[in-house]
Amino acid sequence: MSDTIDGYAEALLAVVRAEGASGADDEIFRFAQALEANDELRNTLSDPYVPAEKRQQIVEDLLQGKASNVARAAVSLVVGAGRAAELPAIARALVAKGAAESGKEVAEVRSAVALSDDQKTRLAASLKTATGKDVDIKVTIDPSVLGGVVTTIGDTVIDGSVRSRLAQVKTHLG
Amino acid sequence: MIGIIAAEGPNGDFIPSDVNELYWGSLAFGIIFAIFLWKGVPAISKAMKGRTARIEDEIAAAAAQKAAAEAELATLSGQLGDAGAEAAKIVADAREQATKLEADLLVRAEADVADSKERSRIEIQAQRDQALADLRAAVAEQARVAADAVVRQNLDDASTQSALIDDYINQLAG
Repeated sequence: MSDTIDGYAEALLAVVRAEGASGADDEIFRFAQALEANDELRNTLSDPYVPAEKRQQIVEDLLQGKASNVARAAVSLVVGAGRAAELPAIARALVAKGAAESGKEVAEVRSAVALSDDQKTRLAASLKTATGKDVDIKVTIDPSVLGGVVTTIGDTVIDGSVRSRLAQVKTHLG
Repeated sequence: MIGIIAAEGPNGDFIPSDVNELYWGSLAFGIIFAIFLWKGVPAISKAMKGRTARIEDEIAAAAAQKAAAEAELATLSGQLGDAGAEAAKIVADAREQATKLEADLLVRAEADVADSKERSRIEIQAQRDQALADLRAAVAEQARVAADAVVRQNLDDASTQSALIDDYINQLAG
């Protein structure tokens, strides 16, 4: 992790903590995931020829009514500083630092549909059983998963997606 | 005696009628004969001896030439004999080379035919394998597409999605 990304993550975490916006880090993380998956949005927000005000306005429009003011301000700050391309890494570092303060690791969960609170709780418990680690669940909606769940904890990937099963079927048939 | 014969009269053939003529004629004859014996015979003898010696020399030279010619003939005959043997050896070698070349060509031709057959067999086998692989791939792709369609259709149901997530959580829990 570079010093720049670590510095931004530390600063955003401090802002979130100072404002007492406990869910803001999750909102920032989800926006970063969406940004990573959308080439057009990422290219636009990373384009140095697009004025910073214009890029920040796009962020405001996208998050208006969908995220807290703290999350919007944080994302707008990063995009306005010309660091939109680094936002996914900054968001990962942010949630990792937040989880680490609680003695946890971040579990990035990709699913085709949203998980209920009950499913998140049970998934966290199951992951602790499987890995021996307390985890902080961060869910990203990813239609390409098709069904099931893909969990990433650090370098460990636990793939239980329908997509991977179809790939296995294709491999067996091929 | 001669005087008596001459005194008795001319006989018409041998004895001249004048006895003086007989004396002087005999004396002249004797002188001429003596001179002949004294000068002519040695000269003739010397000429004969010289001619004999010359002839003997010529005979000796002819004999030497004959001997040289015979030696030359013997040499030529020997060379002719050697040339004949050499020619026979060349012919024998040529026949041997021709036989060997024929055998080599035959072996090579047989090897070429065998190689061509093997290459044809391998090519046919490769084409057959490729055709089978293409067929398997086409069938596999059709099966995968069908499975994908069936799976996607079933995944449209929210309960199915939830069930897949629950299965994942339960499998993690062990």
